[in-house]
Amino acid sequence: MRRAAFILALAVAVAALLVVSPCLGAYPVSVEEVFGILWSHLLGSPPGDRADFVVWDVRLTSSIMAVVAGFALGVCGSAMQAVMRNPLADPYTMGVSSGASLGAIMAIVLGFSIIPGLSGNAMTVCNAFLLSLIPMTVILALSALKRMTDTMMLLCGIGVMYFFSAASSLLMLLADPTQMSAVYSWNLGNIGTGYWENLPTMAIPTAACTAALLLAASRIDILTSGDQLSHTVGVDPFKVRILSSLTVSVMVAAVVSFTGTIGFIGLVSPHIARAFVGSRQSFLMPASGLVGALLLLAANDAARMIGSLPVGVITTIVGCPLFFILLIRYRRSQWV
Amino acid sequence: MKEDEFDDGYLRFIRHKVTFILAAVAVVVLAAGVSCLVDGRPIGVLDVYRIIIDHILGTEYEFATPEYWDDFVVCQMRLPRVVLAIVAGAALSTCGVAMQSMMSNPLADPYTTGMSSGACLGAVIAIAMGFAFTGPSVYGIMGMSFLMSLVPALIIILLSRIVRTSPATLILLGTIMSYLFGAVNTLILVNQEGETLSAAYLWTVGSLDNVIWSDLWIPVVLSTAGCAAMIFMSGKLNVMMMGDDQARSMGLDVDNFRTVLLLVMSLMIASIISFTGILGFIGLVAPHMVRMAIGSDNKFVIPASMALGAALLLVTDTLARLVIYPYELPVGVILMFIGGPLFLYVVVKHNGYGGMY
Repeated sequence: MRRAAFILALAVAVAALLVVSPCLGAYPVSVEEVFGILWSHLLGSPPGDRADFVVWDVRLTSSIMAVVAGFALGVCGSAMQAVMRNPLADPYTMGVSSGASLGAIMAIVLGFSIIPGLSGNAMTVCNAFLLSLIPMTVILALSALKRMTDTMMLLCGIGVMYFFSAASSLLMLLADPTQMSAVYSWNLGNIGTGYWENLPTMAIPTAACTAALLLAASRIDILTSGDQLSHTVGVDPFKVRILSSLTVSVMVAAVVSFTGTIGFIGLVSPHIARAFVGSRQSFLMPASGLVGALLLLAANDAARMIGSLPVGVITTIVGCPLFFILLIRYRRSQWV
Repeated sequence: MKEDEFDDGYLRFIRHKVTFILAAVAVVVLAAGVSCLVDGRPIGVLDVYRIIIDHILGTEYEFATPEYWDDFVVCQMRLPRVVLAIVAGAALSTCGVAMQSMMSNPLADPYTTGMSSGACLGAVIAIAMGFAFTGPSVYGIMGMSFLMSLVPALIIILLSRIVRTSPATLILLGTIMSYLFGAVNTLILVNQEGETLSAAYLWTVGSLDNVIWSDLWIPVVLSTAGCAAMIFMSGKLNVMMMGDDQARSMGLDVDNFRTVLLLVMSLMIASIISFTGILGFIGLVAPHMVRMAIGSDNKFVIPASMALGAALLLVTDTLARLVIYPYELPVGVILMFIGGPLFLYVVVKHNGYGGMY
């Protein structure tokens, strides 16, 4: 009951911040105006003036994208930490995001599709998905061959990430050497101005994959207590691990294709949520997703208020100290 | 008789290493010549060396003759960059060797421990506070850069004195610290000059662009002094390689030695990074390549890494300028390409008993 209340409260907070967000920024718009504009769009007669453009086409799309991306990253982080049994895992530190972003850049800059015959957003997301599988495969394969500690998995992820982000920088710079700032904000993660037409490509995979992960929540819970134990209760840890990694990759690909690699949201959100709802995945996943949405939305607002800053800068500044604390705290304790 | 045989064996043992060092130095000289060929005005390969030697000998040319322009282009426009590449490569690799030995950690280097990013952030803070790059305020930039590079160094010292962290944790902390510093760096630069994200990017990736002679002497002097000090201390570094407890039992004052080393390294790193931005992985790649070739006696590893690091940075920098000529890539991107896989390799290889975890 307490958990459900917490999740509900989070959802309300996200909705409230979503309405306030369009007011924040260089061009002043009041809350009443925002409500007016939203109402007029719902009625089907948009005013079409400057305030309408700023609120509806720029800030609201950006905010909704932030919510979707934050939610997806939060859910992924929660699932990955459980599946890898590593409190420091998240799509960013494991290199999944950087793989996805390389795939997306291949599609956007070179127009190259790994699966022939695709175009547009489908091509971008498919490329991103396929390349995001590489880091996870590398890490899972290595951990099957050798005994890997938590920190070592992370270091592998970081090594892969260096390589992939160098590759994507190179691709973008080869295409247009004057575009350094674009490369940089992509590598840091930038939501900027959203586009309505991109939203479904992001939101539908996120919703579908979240549903899939929620269905598997009880099995993922069992996985947390170790491979041997899950064998004894009849859950194949290998299968669960592979399937949930695939699901996570789809979600990350859908998000990263439009935002670049945003760090630390997936790492921090599960830890915050866990403090309130405990570590049962069926509660933790939605809670972590909502915390992620709230954090990324707030970071996006802050980035817009400071002006032309990639949102990744804010998430990094907030996320790094938290990572520090987690790293020192979990240094010896057995994590379950 | 026996002693002679022993001497012969030892000489052969040494010769192999000295040959390696000499070969690396030869590569540096060659790469320096080639690097001077890039950009605009066509000048022959051998002419470059002749022009440089003539310049050093003090030959004067009449203004605006072809010889004058050859001399000007090579010595004023191209050579500073080459010198900076050599100095930066040598100093960063030396720091890499010293760090790896000091922490007995194969992954340590100025970049992975966060010291480079600290130095870079310091330089950016100083520039944002209004110090300019020319004139006496270069010291201001260097000073800030030095101070900020001490932050990660301090954390390393504290962690190794108070809590026993595994080497992997230390590197993880360093990496995260460099993310943090990089983000703060972007925040400052973007606020300062409107939309200068590309400037922020160049700082975090590192580039050897836009150097002039009058700036160069500080990194040259500090790095040379630092490298000399490291070579001088290579025996102690060898002892440190066996771990703190062993080193203590051999009579080395481990804590103080580590502090001295970190101070020297901070100076070297600050003097370079404040001009180039963060050049990652040189300190990781060069020493590991050297150790694969000639073993891990620091007396040889340090000079060899200096030469190899300089050669590596020169070659990658030349590559970075040629790939999309007439534009240039930031050299850091190419370094990251080599460094990422090597990083992964070292992580996987040094796993297991007696390893880092």
